[in-house]
Amino acid sequence: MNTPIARYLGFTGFAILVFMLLLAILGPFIVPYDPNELIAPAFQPPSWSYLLGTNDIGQDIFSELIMSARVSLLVGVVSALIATLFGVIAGLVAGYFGGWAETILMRLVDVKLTLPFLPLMIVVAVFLGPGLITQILVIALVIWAPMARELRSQVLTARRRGFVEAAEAIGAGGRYILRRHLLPNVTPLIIPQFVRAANTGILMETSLSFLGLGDPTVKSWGMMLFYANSRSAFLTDAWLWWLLPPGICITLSVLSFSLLGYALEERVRPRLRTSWRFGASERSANKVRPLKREPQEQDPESPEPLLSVQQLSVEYVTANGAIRAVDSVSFSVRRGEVLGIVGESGSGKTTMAAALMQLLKPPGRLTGGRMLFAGNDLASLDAAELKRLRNNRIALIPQAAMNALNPVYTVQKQLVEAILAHQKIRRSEARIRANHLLQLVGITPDRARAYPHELSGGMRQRVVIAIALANNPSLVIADEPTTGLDVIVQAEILELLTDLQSRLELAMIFISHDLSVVLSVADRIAIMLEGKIVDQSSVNSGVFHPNHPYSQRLQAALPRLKSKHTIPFS
Amino acid sequence: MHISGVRTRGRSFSSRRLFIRISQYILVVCVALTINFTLPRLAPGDPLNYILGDEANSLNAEQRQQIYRELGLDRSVLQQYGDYLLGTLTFDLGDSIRFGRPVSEILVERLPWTVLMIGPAIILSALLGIVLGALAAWKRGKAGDASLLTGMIILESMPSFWIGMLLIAVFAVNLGWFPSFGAVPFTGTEGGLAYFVEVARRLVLPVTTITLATIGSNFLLTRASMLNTLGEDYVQMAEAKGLSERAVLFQHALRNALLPVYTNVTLSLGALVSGAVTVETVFAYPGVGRLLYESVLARDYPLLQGVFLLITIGVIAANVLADLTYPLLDPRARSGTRSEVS
Amino acid sequence: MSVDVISSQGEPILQLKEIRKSFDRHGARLERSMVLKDVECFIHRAEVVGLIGGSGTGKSTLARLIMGLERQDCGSILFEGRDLEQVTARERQAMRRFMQMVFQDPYDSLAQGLTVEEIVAEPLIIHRIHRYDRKKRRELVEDALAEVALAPSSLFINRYPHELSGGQRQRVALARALILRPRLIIADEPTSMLDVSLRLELIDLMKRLRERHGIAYLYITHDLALAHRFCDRLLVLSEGRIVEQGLANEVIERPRHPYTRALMQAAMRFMPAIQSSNPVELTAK
Repeated sequence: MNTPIARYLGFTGFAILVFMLLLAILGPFIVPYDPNELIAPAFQPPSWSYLLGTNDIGQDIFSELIMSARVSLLVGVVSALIATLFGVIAGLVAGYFGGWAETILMRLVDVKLTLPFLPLMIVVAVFLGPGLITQILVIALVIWAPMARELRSQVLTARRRGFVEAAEAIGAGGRYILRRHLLPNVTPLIIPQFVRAANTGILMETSLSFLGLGDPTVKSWGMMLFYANSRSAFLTDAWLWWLLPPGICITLSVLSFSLLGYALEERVRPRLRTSWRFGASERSANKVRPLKREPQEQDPESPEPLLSVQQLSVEYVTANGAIRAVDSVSFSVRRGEVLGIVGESGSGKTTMAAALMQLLKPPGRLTGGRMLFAGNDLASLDAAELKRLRNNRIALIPQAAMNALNPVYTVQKQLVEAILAHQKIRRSEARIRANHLLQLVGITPDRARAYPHELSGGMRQRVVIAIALANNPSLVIADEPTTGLDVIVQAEILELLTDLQSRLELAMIFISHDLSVVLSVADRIAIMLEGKIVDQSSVNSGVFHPNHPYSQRLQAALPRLKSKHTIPFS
Repeated sequence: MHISGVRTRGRSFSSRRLFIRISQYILVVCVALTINFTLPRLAPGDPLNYILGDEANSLNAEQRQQIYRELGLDRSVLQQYGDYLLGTLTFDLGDSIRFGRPVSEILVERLPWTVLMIGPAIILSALLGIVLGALAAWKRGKAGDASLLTGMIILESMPSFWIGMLLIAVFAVNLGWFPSFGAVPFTGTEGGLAYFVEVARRLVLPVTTITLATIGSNFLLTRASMLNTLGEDYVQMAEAKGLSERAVLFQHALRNALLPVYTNVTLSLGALVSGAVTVETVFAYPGVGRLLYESVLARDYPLLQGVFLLITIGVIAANVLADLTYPLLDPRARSGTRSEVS
Repeated sequence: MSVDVISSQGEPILQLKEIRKSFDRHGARLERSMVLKDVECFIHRAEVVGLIGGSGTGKSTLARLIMGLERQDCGSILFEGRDLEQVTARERQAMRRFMQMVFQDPYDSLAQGLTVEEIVAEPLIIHRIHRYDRKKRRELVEDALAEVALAPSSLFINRYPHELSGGQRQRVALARALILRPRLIIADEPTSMLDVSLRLELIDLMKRLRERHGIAYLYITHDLALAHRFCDRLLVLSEGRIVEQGLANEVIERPRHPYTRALMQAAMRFMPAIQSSNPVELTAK
């Protein structure tokens, strides 16, 4: 399930780790000399008998290096194991039982995370006296806290998942849910946590030993560097053989855990996956088949459609081959006309909208067809032309418009930005225009300085509509503009959209999964199914004539409702 | 040490949260103080050894009793604890065994040097890490991104002091470009341009070391955070508005991606002081970190505890700084704003 | 038939009395927002009651309270006349067997790593029914799948949720709710995540199950048309209060409360097509 680069990184990490472990296990059997024995004169250069030379008192550095692997890895891994054990227990208890246990544990974790870890370790280690056990305990003490925190938040997330609540609703007890649903969901996360802890553990062992807080009776890479530093190894010519090998060994060991952790974490959190293989930039991806450009400007009175889409195809390249999301779709939109496009989720509507705006992102790519807007093929525009076109001639009201506003800017700023991208006017003028636009969509100018999170969903949707209309576009693509809103708000937004459309004589592509919504706004309707347009028909006062069996089924599923009393508009 | 997990720490500022935060910080200081108070009393041996060092061995029983009384060690543990807290509040941290001077005096002397070294390092590391991380995320999946990522993971895996030792071996010893030792020239008077140049020259290698040691985490965090924001709807909306690629990248994606990175940078101020311990040791730099090492070597317990307390307070100061400045960056964390649920 | 006639059909299967519920706002206990304010209602055996309201009106919270996923601040929930808070844990567990729930999101409410068989059999395992008889359990699973028209069951029994469509998943969720032969099913917007063409199918399926087994439903929705088609009686929830209730036809045809009217008006906004095309189907009777 991993992306190729993560697989590659993970494999590399695994290979290094295996090598280091072998070194640690087989060390005593392959070292040529006892590392504690003084076997040669000091500062011997590397030779066949002393592979890495000797140190200042005449011990063989190569033997020292190999024997050190044991202690360094042992301290790192054992302290990580202890920390994982405590972290997992604390995280599970806090996340599952909550209450006072959670309060106490999490306070403890917070305190632990705020205390400076290295000085804390040093202070504790000094009072406990140097030694392997001290090192392991002190390191474990420091690294359990972030794991507990992470685990707890994972448990809390898992508890809110639908299937856990479903089991609870069926009547399952705490132990059943913990065993059957929570543990299987949380366990995959423990392994990357452990790997990360081992990584930290090795580095900390190194730091502690380097500061002289290691066990003086055994050797570790950090100890080697401690001696090298305290005897000013870098002032001699021997530094190359004395400093480099232990440092490289530490780096490789830590690196192996880092890489492994990276690959594992990507596996359990798919969101982190990057589309490495299809990394081509969006522009070049869209230019797979360059299309001839026809630059003639169009007479507004001509019967030529404003937008003419011919045989448009879009594919998503996946590991299992290409999936055709939009399949030879043809349609056209005249000036001032509303084309409704109806299709269920996965029918390719949104992909088509993205293709029209040239917003397709890899792995999606245009594989054929033309999109002629006022005579120009959209796919052949360069970056500057595209920038001039977007919002200025064709505007998008995106799906889930609730998230389409940047949370850190005021709505006025986001409107002004859209205006200034296309109009050469002063900022103060743009602000005035922005306030006009807000009024146009029914928001009083005193809300102009509000941040998106201070507005309700319906208000945010209105702001997005105002942005789309900021530069008097001739075509608006509205992709599910009312989905996710409360029913009453939905009706209001729809009212606003149709009103603006007829007042500003906009051409509009109105995309929705909801046939009844589309029928209430569209002049013409196209039904999409599995990437194809299967039916097109004109709409007369809300009625259309389905030809395809699928559209007949859709029509049959239309809600029926009638009130005997006409309801007065409030 | 997390490579790809973006951890946003929410910092909203309602009065209740503020109260929780402040009590949290007070709690941390109390824990640090308690550790300082308890450890010498729990550790094996006579607590006098931890207060007077080796001198304590030469005392006879009567002298011991006298010192016990003078130091209040014959009183109840609770009373001792109270005395200790009171002393700390009046900046009385005891006397250093090695230097024979008040601990607080030594700390005040050493602190500016550490600040001088860490200040530039944190700025450099943040700027470089953020810019490179943003670029890597923007060009994700390409060769440049892959090699930067690999390089940064490798850099993250190196012990910081080892980086420092290598820099000394190459740039100080072999090439002779920079001095490797201390913060001030051995000879020459204080003040004057030459003095400052000399101080700056001595800063180059330690600052580079800390920058290299911390740049990785800033890079990885920025990259991961950018990858998240690049998928957000408002970034697509910014593109659909007809903004230039640069405006989309910097004003919309990076602006939001910076929020967790900013928290990380301000918090790492405290962690850096910890990291400075080994680096200052390598460069024999007269900062607080080196002082910690010296006190470990000399088993100078009062000094050791004083340094620990100072660093703890430094970390908390960094936390407070992060708390106070974060709302400037994120309007959602400002007081008085309430989110309306749609 | 009036409301009074229905309420005289013996003891209600579910009764809510003065239910109140509030939540902490932004994690701050000082700012609590009331989500449910003195909600009172009842459901009779084999009766389908629709709970209607826009988003944020507290509909789902009410469902979660009934199912024990949250606890009310005050008020009581009576199932077959017994207060769920007054009985022992063991008795409550036994009562849970007869009230089941279908969730809104069929993509989240089925565990990813389990097969359809394991998912549908889960209630049997939780309630220790046929604990040591795998064959019997399988038979019951097959029956339940047949009930929800996932047939032949051999086609589905070994599949995983991600291999099924949204409509099929929701049927699996319904089969899981059915396997214990419940007397009451709480259905929290079971159709809202489904594609339009599948909504009616699911509603009609639930209707058939009511006729066959006499199951009562609390059907939570914002879709008036579906509620009208499915429900005997409607409750309209607005800002945590029940503002209107009555027989489905009466509420739809003569909405009295302004909020109900606003809901109707919004619903009618999308319905001009039907009114003019085939007016015969329009009236409820």
